[in-house]
Amino acid sequence: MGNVIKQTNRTMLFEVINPDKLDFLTLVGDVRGMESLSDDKIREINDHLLVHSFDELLEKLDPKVYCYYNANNQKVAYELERPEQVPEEMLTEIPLNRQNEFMAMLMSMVDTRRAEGSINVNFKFEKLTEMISPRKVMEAIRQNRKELQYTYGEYAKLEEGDPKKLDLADKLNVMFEEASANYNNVMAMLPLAIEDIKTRLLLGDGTDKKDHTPLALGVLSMGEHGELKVLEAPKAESTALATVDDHVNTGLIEALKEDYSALNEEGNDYVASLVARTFCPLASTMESTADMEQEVANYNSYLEFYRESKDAFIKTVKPLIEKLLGVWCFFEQYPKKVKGMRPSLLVTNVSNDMLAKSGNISRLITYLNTVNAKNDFGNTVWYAIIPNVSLDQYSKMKLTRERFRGNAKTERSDVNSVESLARLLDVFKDYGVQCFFSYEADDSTTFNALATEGVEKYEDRCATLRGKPYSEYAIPCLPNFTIIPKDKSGVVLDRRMVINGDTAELSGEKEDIMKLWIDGVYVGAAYVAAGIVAACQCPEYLSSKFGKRRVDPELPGVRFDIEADNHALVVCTTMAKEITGFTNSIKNDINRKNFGFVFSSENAVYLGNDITNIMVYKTRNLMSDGYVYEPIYKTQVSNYIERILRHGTGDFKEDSIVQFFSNNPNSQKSRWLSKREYLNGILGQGDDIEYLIDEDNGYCTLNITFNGNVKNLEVEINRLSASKA
Amino acid sequence: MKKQWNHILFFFQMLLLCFLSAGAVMAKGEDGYSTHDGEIVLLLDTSASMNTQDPDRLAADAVRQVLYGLPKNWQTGLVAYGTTIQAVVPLGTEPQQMEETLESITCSGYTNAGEGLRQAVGLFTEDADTERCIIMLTDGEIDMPDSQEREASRSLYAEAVSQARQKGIRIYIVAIGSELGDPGMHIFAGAEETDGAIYWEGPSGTLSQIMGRILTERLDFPKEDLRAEGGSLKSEIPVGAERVTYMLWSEQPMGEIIVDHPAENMKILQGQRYAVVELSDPEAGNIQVMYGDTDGSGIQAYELLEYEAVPEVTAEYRIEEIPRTAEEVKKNIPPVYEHFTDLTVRLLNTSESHENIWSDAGFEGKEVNCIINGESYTEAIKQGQICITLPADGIDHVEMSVEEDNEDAVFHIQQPVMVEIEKEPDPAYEPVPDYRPLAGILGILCILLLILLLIWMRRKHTTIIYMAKGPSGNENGKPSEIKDCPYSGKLNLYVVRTEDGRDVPPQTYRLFGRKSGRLTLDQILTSCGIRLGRIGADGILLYPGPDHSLIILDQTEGCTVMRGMEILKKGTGYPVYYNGKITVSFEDEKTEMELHYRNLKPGEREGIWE
Repeated sequence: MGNVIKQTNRTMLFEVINPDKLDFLTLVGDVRGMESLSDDKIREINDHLLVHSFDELLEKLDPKVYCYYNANNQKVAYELERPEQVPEEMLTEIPLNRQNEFMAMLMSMVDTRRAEGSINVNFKFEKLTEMISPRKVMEAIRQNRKELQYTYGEYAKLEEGDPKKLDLADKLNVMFEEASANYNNVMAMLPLAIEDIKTRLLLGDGTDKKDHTPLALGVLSMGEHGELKVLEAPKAESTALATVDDHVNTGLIEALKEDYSALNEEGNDYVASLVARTFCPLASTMESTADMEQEVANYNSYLEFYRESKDAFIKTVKPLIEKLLGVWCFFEQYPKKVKGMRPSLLVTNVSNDMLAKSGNISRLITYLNTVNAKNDFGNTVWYAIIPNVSLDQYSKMKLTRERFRGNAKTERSDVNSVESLARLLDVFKDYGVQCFFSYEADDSTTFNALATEGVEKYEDRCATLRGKPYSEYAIPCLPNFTIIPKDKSGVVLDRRMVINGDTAELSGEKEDIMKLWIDGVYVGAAYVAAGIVAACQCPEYLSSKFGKRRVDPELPGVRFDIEADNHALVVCTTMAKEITGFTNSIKNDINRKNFGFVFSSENAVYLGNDITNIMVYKTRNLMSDGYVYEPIYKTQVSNYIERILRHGTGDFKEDSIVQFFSNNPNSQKSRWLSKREYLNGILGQGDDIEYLIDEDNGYCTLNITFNGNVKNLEVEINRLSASKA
Repeated sequence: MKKQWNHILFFFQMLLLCFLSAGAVMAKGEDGYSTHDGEIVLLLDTSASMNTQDPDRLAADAVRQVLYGLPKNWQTGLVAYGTTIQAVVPLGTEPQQMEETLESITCSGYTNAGEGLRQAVGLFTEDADTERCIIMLTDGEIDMPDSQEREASRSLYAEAVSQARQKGIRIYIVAIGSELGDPGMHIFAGAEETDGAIYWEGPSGTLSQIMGRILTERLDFPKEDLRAEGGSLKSEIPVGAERVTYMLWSEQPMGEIIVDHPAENMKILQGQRYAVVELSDPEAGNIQVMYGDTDGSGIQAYELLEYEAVPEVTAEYRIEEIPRTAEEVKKNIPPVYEHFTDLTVRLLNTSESHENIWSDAGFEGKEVNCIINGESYTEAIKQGQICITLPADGIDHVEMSVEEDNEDAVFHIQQPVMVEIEKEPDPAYEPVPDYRPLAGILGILCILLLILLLIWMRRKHTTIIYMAKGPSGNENGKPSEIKDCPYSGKLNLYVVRTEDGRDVPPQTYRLFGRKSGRLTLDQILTSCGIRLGRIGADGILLYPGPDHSLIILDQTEGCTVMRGMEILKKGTGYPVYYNGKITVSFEDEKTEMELHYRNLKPGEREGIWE
């Protein structure tokens, strides 16, 4: 039988990343009359929706936000879905990738916190939130323009026809392309313009100078009486600043202007000059004279517009960013350096309510029937992630059309209803897909909230999902992770500028501080839970944590129980601790109920090292024997054994089953038993498996004993094709 | 020998005793009062000597005493004679006319008793069952002016006596005065020959007392003697009496009679030595007749009660079945019925009140003789009525008369009365049918039914379906019998599209455990609470098939049913196995649904999740 199951951690993410891209329903297509999809269709789905890393997700699904300007209210609008009424040429697509300053800021925040290991209350969030201020944008550009200037200088030095010049030209093209991302739309130009004006009007402002004398550039000289003085340089005599201008800059300026003009037919000289000034700051040949009042007014206007647009952008993009961060966190759980059963994620890219509709759910069933009900396990889906589930346990799917006016409800439109979750779970149970779900991510579902309120709230919310056939496949994950707390999500962009006499200066008044609120960024616990469990399926990952001697390199980690022993201390998440920990009463409550997939932010030491990351505390699904909930590994092992058994016995042929469980050293059971000592042995210490064939009813009952607790698995014997048939 | 004589003597003693007993019985019958009619003729001597012998004209007073002291069924006549007949009042003449005659009579001439008696005898009728008598009031022997006439009168008298004897007329001779002291006188022969009696004024009492004695002792009519006590007579008038007469007489003149009792009419007649109180339709209750003579010792009186009545007879026809023996029932012999008429008789007053005479307490328990259709019956009065049951066979009416033999009252009963018996036909006899042939037929039918039931039971588990041709051998396009196949698995229902665009939540319908037999998709949808309207779901049939299959049969006109990618032919069964999928497009061409046929895990089969 060998190692027929190469992966046990394919995960489906039931979220929309980019509505403009193909989604699961579209790709599966019409399934009328079809019981399974073709291999080509599966490949096509994988091509479009299956990702193995965060970057692959960004590449395949290309998350973006659409931006357009409303002339009526003089504001900029952002939308996650392509506004169909806006012409293509009036629409600006803003990619959400690692380069996006907001995205980059959040990812940096997670990385920094992980590196620092500091909890929320100690972490200086404002240091990182400043990253989206114009000054920080400009700093980034400065670094880029240095490289640009240097490369262009090298390029200019070389003679025409020199092969190296061509290489440099290619490099320049790339750099220009990156630069153009900033100047091909006005919005991107705003921080540049703000900083440009600030630079010109407040030249020297960065010092401790308190003299408000207008700046007049000059040269240091000795007077007639030997006194040292700075003489104003005669402007008419020279078109250059004190610094030597060269042909390189001139060429670069021309190139930038030309590029800008080529990309923007309706561009103007101001912006062209602005681009030139931004990306070629040594181009002092530009006119340095300025209308101060106009410039200050522009500055304030730009800053206000920038704040408003940034605010609108964040409000719009935050839900998507949270999903992207969730995916990022999912993949982050599996170290990049480990080469093994890397978790893969199949993004449905369609809303759950749409997918769970009766008319569409058969497409999911058909897909799962294809990938999970065959003896080819390459594309078998083992896990599902449904984040952002409504806290209202009776939440219904959105009606297609509200024919009658119902009770007015204030509902979050971006949450997944419990009804759709239940429908999906009902499908998952038939195909052995364990579903990690987490409730809507906000400040009420964080570690802080759990530390103060306990798990009872979540248990109550899950009441409608308990005691159901699918309860075994429902794994409530809690609490959600905080990237930026709501109360620390303020971002200071800059200050307004005022004219004081003949000089312009930044206002010191508090009300002139331009600030926006991100309003908290959170990541659903389901992403991290699925990520850590998926990572644990990989024997290489387990080896990296526990050492190779304790892990069988061929077996997946289906039997690995994070709860057991000190596994949680070894296999902890990549997320930094958030709080100092739960109180003993809360932990007692969690331990007594053994409810859910619970993370803990505890102080712990393993092998002398402080653990600064969040750990897994409980790994339970919603199936209960009336006292405790069942650990998720049991379901995973049962599914694994059933699949192995189905594969190994030719769809449960009776004689093959007998052979499967025989005492023959080559039987599957014997081989599993021989690997008991491994952490990832399918049958661990204290485990056993027995079978009982019910001849009358044609059933084989497997009694799988996990540490003394028996779990039944019943399969129907395939008599027709067996020898006894 | 002596012993034999003793036996003979005992026999004759017993015979004598029987005769004596019979004689006593007969005597009792003869002594009883009767309500038969009577005729009485008062023969009054009005010869000149009467003026001397009866100067106070007490003879006329005596006539009146008789006239008013008799019941109404007694007729009174009068013949007054002297030398010739002075007055003749025929029987039945009104008292007023009698009074006038009496007033006009004068006493003169001889005593032609022969003519007088002849006239008197000639007044009687020939009616049967009538008591007849003559009361002759005279003061002397037959006396005529010459001997020839005297002899002729004597002869005539003797002849009249003879006639009277022949007619059963008794002659009571009241000798007035003192001249008729010799009992051997010729005139007294009449009394002797006719079984009458002779009364001498003086020795026999005063005239009023003699008339009282004749009325009470000689004339046979019901009456009750009353005792006068301290100036009044007390009596009780029963319910329903038509007329009550109180006759009082005394040897001395009586004082004023006072009666205070409610009655429709009251009449008080008072002579010199007698008084009569007559009440018509009086109220029942106590009555007191007061008279002026405070010393009541010389007063004699009787009460004469008369009833005018008509029997009220009701006849109820009754049919009684004579109980049949078990054998008769078994042999189905028709029942025999007895027919009876239950007669209920009451005696009603003829006055407007129509009171039931027998309701008076005095009648309770009294036996009454009735003649019904010529037969005599005796029944006791119970609660104011008598009940007699007669066999009703052969009679269609009842003719009834009541013999009211009452010694205290006179009954004038309008009878007989005739009552028709309203007969009803006997209950139609419905002979118990002979069920044996029927039972036989039913038995055969039951056997046939059982056979049919068995066939049906087998058919129930055996469904014949035309199976579609297919890759497997089972689907050969020929009728296939599906026998004893149980349902298994479950159906997951997904309404993919509806006409109004609504989203119907997926449902699961458990087939396992259901009785084998036909199911329609409509039934399944209804039980799952999915209402899609009449769009053909009832024409899509499901049967359990072999090897845990589910057979789908599309019998609709407008639906399209697909098994996998294959469109099902109408009327042809297609098996679907576990994990199979059926797609249905309904008749409205908009609604679509999918049925996923899935296996149930044993845990689910045990209903853990139900």
